[in-house]
Amino acid sequence: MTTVTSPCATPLAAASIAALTLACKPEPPAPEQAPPRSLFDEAEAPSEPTNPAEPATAPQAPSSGRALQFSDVTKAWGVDLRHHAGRNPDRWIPEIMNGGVALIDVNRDGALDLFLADGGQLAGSAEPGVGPRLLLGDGHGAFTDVSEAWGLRHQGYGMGVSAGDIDGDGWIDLYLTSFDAQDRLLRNDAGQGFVDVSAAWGVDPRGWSTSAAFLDADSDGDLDLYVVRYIRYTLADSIKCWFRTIHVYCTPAMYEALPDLLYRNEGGRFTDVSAEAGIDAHPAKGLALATGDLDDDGDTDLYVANDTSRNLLLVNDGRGRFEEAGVASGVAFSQLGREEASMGVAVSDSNADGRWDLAVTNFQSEPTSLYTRRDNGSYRERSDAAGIGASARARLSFGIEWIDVDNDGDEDLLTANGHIADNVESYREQVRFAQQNSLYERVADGRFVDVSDAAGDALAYRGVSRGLAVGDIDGDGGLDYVVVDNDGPVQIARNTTADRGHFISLWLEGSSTNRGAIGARVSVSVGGQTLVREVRGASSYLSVSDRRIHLGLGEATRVEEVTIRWPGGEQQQLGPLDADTHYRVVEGSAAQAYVPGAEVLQP
Amino acid sequence: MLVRAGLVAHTLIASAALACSGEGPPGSSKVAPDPAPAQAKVEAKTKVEAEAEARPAMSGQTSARATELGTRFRDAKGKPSCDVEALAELRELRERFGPASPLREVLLAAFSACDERVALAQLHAETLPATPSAQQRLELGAAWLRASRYEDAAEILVPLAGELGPTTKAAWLAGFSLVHAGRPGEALPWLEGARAHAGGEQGSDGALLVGLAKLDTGDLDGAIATLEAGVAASPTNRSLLAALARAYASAGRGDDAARVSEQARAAFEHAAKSERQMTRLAALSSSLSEAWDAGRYAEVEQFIDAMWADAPPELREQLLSARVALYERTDRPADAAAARDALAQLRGQ
Repeated sequence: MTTVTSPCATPLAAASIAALTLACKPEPPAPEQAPPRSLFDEAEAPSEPTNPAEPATAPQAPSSGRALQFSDVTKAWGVDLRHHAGRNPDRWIPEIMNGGVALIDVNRDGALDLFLADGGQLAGSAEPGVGPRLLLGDGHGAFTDVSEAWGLRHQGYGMGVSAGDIDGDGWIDLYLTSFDAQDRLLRNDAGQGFVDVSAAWGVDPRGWSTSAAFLDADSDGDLDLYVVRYIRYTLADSIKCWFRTIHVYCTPAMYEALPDLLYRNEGGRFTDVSAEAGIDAHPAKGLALATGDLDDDGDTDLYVANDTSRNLLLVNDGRGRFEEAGVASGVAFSQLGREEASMGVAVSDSNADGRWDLAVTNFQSEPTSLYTRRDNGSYRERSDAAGIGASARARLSFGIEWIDVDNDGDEDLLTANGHIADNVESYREQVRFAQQNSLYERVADGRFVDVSDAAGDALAYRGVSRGLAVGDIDGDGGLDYVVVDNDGPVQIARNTTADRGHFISLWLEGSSTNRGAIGARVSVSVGGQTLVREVRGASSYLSVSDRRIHLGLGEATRVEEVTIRWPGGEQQQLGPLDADTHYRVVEGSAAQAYVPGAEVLQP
Repeated sequence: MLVRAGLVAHTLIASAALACSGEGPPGSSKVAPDPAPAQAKVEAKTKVEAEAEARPAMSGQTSARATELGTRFRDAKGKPSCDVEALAELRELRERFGPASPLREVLLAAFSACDERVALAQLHAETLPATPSAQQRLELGAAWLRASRYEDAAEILVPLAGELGPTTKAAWLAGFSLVHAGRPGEALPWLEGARAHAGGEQGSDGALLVGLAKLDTGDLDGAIATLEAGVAASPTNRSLLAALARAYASAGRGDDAARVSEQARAAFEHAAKSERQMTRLAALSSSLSEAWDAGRYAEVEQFIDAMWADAPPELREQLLSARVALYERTDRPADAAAARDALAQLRGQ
């Protein structure tokens, strides 16, 4: 979204109403003030690139022998889904923000299903939208739309989706965020449909929720709920913003931040514990979050990506009280200490040093920040040093996920891109509304190469992407992905990388801990390296990726030992396990192989 | 952002331009004389000249058109102003004729007006003479910096700084680019050398960059000392406070880190509040202007009153100025005088 703020700074200093008002009429600002930084203010940022259609740096040949490839199989797999944003001539901010998606298994058949959080209709919008959609997957690329049968209906202006088993019955439940309407908690009725239990569970945030996460914040074995919220904004008091004579989206900088919310699971009911948990002391303009045991002390911490305000690192004391450590840890701001317009976040050990690092998408002209964790618990921002910065500045990124595309054991980085202003080309000659998504291949020494241009037709597509979720949709051992275009189509990208390495997939289910095993950590030694993954309650932007642990094994055809640290600290060893197999692991039990889509695996 | 003052990059890069033009502030270092032999410069064939041989020459009519297009990048007051359509036409001319003069100069002005920083740097690079002067190299390096192409900037600026010595702007900008490129250890000698020579001219920006470089190289004591000095000189500088908090935390000084983090948060929140006010004001100004033009002064006053209640000090000064103008316009001399007094008081007069 674009804003026009700076031109009026000078008038204010002019010490007269006439200057104040007249100079604020649409007129060309000075060049340093000119860039309409959009939703999210670019006035101080470096320029947008000369040619956004191309990476700012020429793609280099990846160091691995495999060319990462994705094919657009949306039509081939019979998926014809479209997101509705209900864009309005008044240019309301929510309409260019939404488009959440989830890859989850709602019917326990081991195959991934597709959930789209549709937008719908803001007041006066032309398009009503169709409400959230659920497509059941068969594990081989075929989908069936069961939205109506599962009781999904249009209700409020949807933003994103989160997923977790709130009642421990083995069936994954959903939380739908929205703008200016009550969020909805949908309980999965044993794979037969969803039941709205928002009222019964006491969940009623209103305002503007964006992303959400289920996590066991207080380490009591059930899933609590963290809701990220954005700005205090209503259509009634929205303001029209202009860049010269061009009507643009306003910046969120002119609106107050809404504090996030933390709900504690009391068994059949959620209780708002935001104050006692230390959450409401840090209002920020939140868009996304990631969970993980970032400080390696056995509980689940949070990182919240905020727009035009500092990002939050919420360190858990193990009992559900969080201390904000983003400023002191070096992950609240850019390298030089300024707020960025952060959109999405994902966690991985990007440099194989055994510590979780953070990748955060930002506005056009800002890098996708890569914060690598150090021994002393602080972070260092090294997006430029890692080879991501220049390319990422050329695009406006929202969704983000780590994805081991070629199953070589290290995780590559994928971002969903697209500008927020459909008229950006009228005031930025070389910036495009529709943009190419980005794939960065991890090469060596924690460095990455932008291989987007050479990665197949799925990545050649230019769109206005927002939500991004990753998972092995067709069960062939390669991680696929789905992106949602704001007010546009859903794209399914199949991993067609030739000669991928071997893999194992682990579907973890807790018994003494939360059923979805959110927070469980898996370690595998293979090919001289130790792979560590964690089941995360949230990452990306408004979206949910497959929670199953996917491990690329390279040339290894067998894993001798898998170590699982369940939430709460219990350790379990498994193995040996044959490669190229999907396993279900119930806490304390042996691994059980299954074929995605073959049968329902009862809880 | 509106109220984010003193951005490091802008300050430093702007100072590079001053250095190039010899208009640096008193005491500032200047770029040393061009070390390249004058004769070599004369004999060198530029890339532009070489390219020009392979392209058709611009006709007089086309040159005139380029010049005419160039006038569209200034507004009525002579300020730079971007014209997207004119820029597109200029790019087409460039495709056909290359970036030779006079198109080069027009393009430079156009890219600058349109804030096309990467394009600007690329044009500088493409038209760099085979034997460029130090000033031309410094301009190119600064252009890459403005475009956030830090490795490209370092590639130009580090050798230049090596030739000119650590007392130049080139050294400072070389250090700046190296910090961003993730090479703080290489950055430090340049930054410290330039900073020592400049006698602290870089102020809070200098303290921040040197502090960050020390922090990232593990010199925690050095980082803390540098950043503490910076904060002492600029107690509300948000970036310095954030960096100092990080340095304390890295050194295991948790209490200090928490204290300074809180100061940083407060500073950022204050800035955010100011920005909220200012951006709302900016957005609402169109409506306000309409009211002012239409003589709906009560509406204007209501607007000022509404802004006043929550306005930070810097905005209050502007709002008081506006009140003075409003009261003068509406023939309320007593109110105007009171507002003027309040304004003087606020300014400490």
